[in-house]
Formats: sequence, C-alpha cells, structure tokens
Amino acid sequence: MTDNKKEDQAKLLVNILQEYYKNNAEKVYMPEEFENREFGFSFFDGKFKRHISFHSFDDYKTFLIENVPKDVYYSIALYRNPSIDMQNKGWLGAELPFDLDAEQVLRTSDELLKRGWISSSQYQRIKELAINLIENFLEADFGLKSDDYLVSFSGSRGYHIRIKEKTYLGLDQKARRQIVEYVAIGPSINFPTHQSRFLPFAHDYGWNRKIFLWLKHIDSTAFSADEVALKILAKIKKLNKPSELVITNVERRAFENMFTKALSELTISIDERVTVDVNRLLRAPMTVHGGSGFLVKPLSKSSLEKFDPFVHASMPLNSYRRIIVKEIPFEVSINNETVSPSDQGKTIEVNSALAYYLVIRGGGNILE
Amino acid sequence: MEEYDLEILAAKYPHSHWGKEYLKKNSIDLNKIDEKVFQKIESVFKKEYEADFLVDYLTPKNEVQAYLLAFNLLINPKLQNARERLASAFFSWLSNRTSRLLSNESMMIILEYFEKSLKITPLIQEKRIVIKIADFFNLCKNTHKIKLVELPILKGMIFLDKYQAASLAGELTYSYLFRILNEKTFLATAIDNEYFERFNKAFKKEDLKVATKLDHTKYPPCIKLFIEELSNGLAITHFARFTLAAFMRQIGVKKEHVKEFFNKASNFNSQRTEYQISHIYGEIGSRIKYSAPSCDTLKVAKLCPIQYYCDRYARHPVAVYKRRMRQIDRQ
Repeated sequence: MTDNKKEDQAKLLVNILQEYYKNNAEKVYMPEEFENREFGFSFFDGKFKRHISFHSFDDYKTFLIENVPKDVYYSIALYRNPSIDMQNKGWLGAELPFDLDAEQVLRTSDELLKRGWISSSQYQRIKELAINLIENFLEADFGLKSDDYLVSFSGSRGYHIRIKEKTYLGLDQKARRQIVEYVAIGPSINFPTHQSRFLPFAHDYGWNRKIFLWLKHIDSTAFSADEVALKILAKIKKLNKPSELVITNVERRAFENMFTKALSELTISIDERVTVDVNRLLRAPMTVHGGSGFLVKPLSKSSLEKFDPFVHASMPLNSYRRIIVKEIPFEVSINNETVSPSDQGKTIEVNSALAYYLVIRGGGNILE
Repeated sequence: MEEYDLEILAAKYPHSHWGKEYLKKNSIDLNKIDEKVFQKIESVFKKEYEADFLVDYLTPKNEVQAYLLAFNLLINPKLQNARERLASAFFSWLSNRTSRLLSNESMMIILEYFEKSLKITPLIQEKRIVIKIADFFNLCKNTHKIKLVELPILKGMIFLDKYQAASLAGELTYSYLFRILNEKTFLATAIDNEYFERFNKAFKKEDLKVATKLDHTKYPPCIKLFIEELSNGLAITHFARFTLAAFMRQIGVKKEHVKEFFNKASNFNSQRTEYQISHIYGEIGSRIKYSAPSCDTLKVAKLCPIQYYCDRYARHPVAVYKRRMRQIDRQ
C-alpha cells in the first residue's frame, strides 16, 4: 500500500475509534487513585505522548473523544506528581503486573501469531494459562482474593493481571523478580551426590505440593518409556504428602527428568520485564487496542472463563463499512458477522468493528 | 523472663530485643574496649570466621559491646564505599550464627525473636510458625539467599517448622540489620576515635582497578556462548549484548576491548556499538554504570544454556567468574 493510501485508511480507522469513544466514553474504566496515575497515548501518526495526568475523570473522557488516540495506557505506579519527569514524579508504589503475551506463554514462534493473527484455539490456551496463574499461584499460593487483582484482556495478544493489594504496592524490583521466579521458573533440585537416599521435598507446601500433586495425578503413559520413572510414580501415588517421598541414588536421573517435565507443565512464561518494571504503563481497560480494534476488557474470574475476544471484546458499534477483503489466514467472526478466506477479493459490507480488525491486520481495505 | 536467661540470650543475639534489654540494665562504654574484642571484630570483617561467638558468649557484656562497636564503626559516614562490603560480611556472619543458635531454642524463643526483634507477628498452627507472605516481602529486601520459590507457601502464609523458622529468622536478620544500618547511617555524624581510625585504615576500599588478570576460560557458560556466537558472525539478542558488555564492565575489562567482541557480528555497527557500550559503562546518558543481569533473569530470558545453575552457590555471572578466579588464587 502506498503512503497516501495508508494515511487514508488510518483516517478511516480513526473515524471508527471516534465513533466508539463518542458513544461509550462512560464505559471507560476509572482506576483507583486516578489522579496519581501517569497516562500515555499513541496516535496513528506514530507520535507517543506520556507524562500526562488528569484532575478529573471527565477530563480523561473528553481527552479520548477529542484526541482519539490509537492506544491508551496508564501507569501501574502511583506518583505524587504524575505529569512531571520521571526523576521528580515521586514514586508512591506500584501495582504488581503480570503480562501473558501469546508468543511468550504459548512458547511458539508461529509467524501468523507474530503478525497478530491469533486463532480462537490459541486464545483459548492463553486464557487457560491466565486462569491457571490466578487459581494456582495468586489465590492458592499468595492468598489473594478476587478484589485484590484486576484481570483484563490486553486487547490483542493476551491478558494483563494487576495485583492491587496494598502489600504488593511497595515491592521493589528484587522482590518482584522473586515472584517472577516463583511463577515462571520454579525450584531446582540438587541431589547430594554422597547420599544413597534423598528426600526431594523438604516440606509439603508451595512448589513441592504443586509438583507432588502433578506427579500423583499424571497418567503413567506420560513416562511409559522409563521403567524407573514408572516405579517412582507408583510410589508417589501411594503417598499422602510430598515430604514422605524418598528417592534412591538409582532413581535419581529418572526423578530429575520427571521433575523437569512437571516444571515445564506447571510454570507460566510471563513477561519478566513487565512484572519487575515499577514504572510500567499498561493498557487502560475499556479503551480500544489500536492494533486490533478489540477492547481492553476488564474481566471477573467467572467472565474470564467464558470469555472469547471475538465475541466479547468487539467494539459495540451500529455502523457498517464497505471493505475489499484481502488474504486472511482463517475465518474471522466479530459481532455475529463472518469473513472467511474464500471472500478474498470480494467487496462486502461488514460491521465497523470487523472492518477495523481486518484492515489493521492487513486483511482488507475500507472503501470510502 | 529470668535474669540469667536474658544474659544468655543477649550474648547469643546481641542485636536482638534481648540485647537491648540487657543494655537497659547494664551500662556499656564503647571507649574502653578490650583489645581482644576489637581483634575479634576485625576477624569477622575480614571473613576469618573462627568461632560462633565474637569473644565468649558466657560474657554477654563482651558480645553486646562487640556488636555495638562494630555497628558504630559501620555507620560512620567517613567509611563511604567500604560500608556495604563490610556490613555484608558482618551481617552475614551474625545472621548465620542467629540461624544456627535459634534452631536449638524452643518454639517460644523463636516466636519471641520474630515478634520482638524482627517485628513480625507470626501465628502457631499445627506446631508450625506461620508468617504472612507480606511480612516476608517487607523484610527480605537485602537478602538474596531466601528464595520464595523454595518456601512452604499456602494461601498467602509461609508455614515453617522449628528449623525452617530458625533459618528464615536468620536470613531475615540480615535484611533487618541492613535496614537499621541505612536508617542509622543517615542520622550519624562522623566521629574520629581511635577505633574508627584503626578500622578505616584496615578496610578502606581500594579504588576500582582495571583488571590486570583476566582468564576467559573461567567465564560462565552464558558469557562463553555469547562470545562464541559473536565470533561465528551470529547476531545475538539485544539483551545478550547488554549482558556481555555489562559483565565485562564489572570484571574490569576496558571499554575499548569490549567493542572487539561485537565486530564480527553480522549486524555490527561501529558507532552504535560504541554508543551503547559507553552507556553501559556510565559515561553518557543517565551515567548509571549498568550491571549484568542475574542468572535467574537470564533464565527467564532464555539466555542461560545450563539447565540448573553452573555454580553451586553463585547466582550471578560475575559472582560465578569471581568465585572461579578466587579458586585459582587459592591454588
């Protein structure tokens, strides 16, 4: 596409965003301690404005309607003076964020996914990992309740979870890194080489419990090629708690493999840079992700379980746009309308949310 | 608590609330110190750990006096660069000793130590000491030894048996002492007494020297891999380049030599490389001298080629290298 055409398409996309913000500004999410947050905005011309703060929520909504940013962010951090330079802002604390990004959590280098084409089944898998993070780490281990965190669909490639609970606000980078290690790496085992018997689990909680329960409930076919591993599994299935497990020197190697496999299944590859960054800007809920046209949707745990971005994160618009369909990798359904790869080259009228998604992903052009 | 118990506990844990109670009842003069006490303090700062106790724990006066003197030497503003290093040696010794001694105490004593010395209010459940994960986070800031990932955690609580509790209490002591040190250093005024002069002379940190002795065979596997990939003309990630340059800065390699590592990379750009290395060396921009990331950070970034850790104790590429170099020195 030539630059002129790109600009024209960008203007047409801005019109769609404007329509959303004009009719839905009331729905935009207001974060706690709103006045202490730094806001950042990117625009279709490539400019990025940050170090902005608002005195009232109405000012924020007006800004969105008047300026129609492509992307909207606010800081996880609270500052005494959020609109001045970083050194003088006066950091007061920061939520603890987790970013589950498709490419990282799915541990894939899928080219389509890199270009933003994420299928429903991939979204489903990312969602399962987000629920796993919430249930098995944040709630089961850290004891957090649903009021202590905010989950939101990131608007494109995954989910953001912000821990709002006060204890976590003051954590420094080292403590945040410990939490990343807890979620994304897990423990290691060091067998004492001079001992013939070894207790791999020194206690019955935390990671020991996770690995023990995983091994206790895993189907033995997972290790069917290894006789020693099967013997260990049989032993584990008879035990009540992790600290009862004894591994002999002969079983050492097999157990190490089982331990490693358990870790690869149970750890979640969150983006470390996001979690340890105490000044991070994250996408603002109920604004539009300019790279997809999906809403950055805040979700309760129960709504997360049923959540499908193609159904629940589309812009609620009543308008339609005529588009020429280009190459698309799979069928896309938004607001009950579907475009499939066989529509390539056709001119069709679709709802504006679907039009935005296709155009921004390079799967179509809007006709004026 | 009986008087006799207090004396023993003050001697064992001079930094604790028992030490403070002892001080309330007994006057201690820091200007009249037994030479033996000073020598013992020196040995702790030099990491020449000879015994569990500074002097003799049956004389609590000596123990409390030694602790107070060591702390007073550390908070002296004139100490400057050496403070962190010496404090680390002293607190590490004291916290290890605390762990060891607490593991032989009763649950009630351990509980009291948590409550009154570390200011954490634990619960007792099923013969276990239970502390909130929040309290752990608040206290663990200076310690790298306790790993959250290894702790017995359930529903926001850490469940500890007596030995684990003693071990954690010792580790948290390290952080706790650093916190007090920072607060007291901020308030302290410079004092030139006889002890400080002797102490300062013995421990003044030498200016950071450019490394005269480097041994590339002792580099940790991650650094070796980056160098190998670069020398084969491969383009390594930005984070790997940053790690390599920051590592070289920390072990004392001259900036000019660091650039040579990158000149075979397929995407080598001389000006950009020089600019970025200068940034890492703190010569331009924010003037921050950047440090290489820890082993755990490298693992998350998938830049560590080792399944677990390449060193039993060290968890940082620079620490791994330094340990290997020290081993050569000893040989």
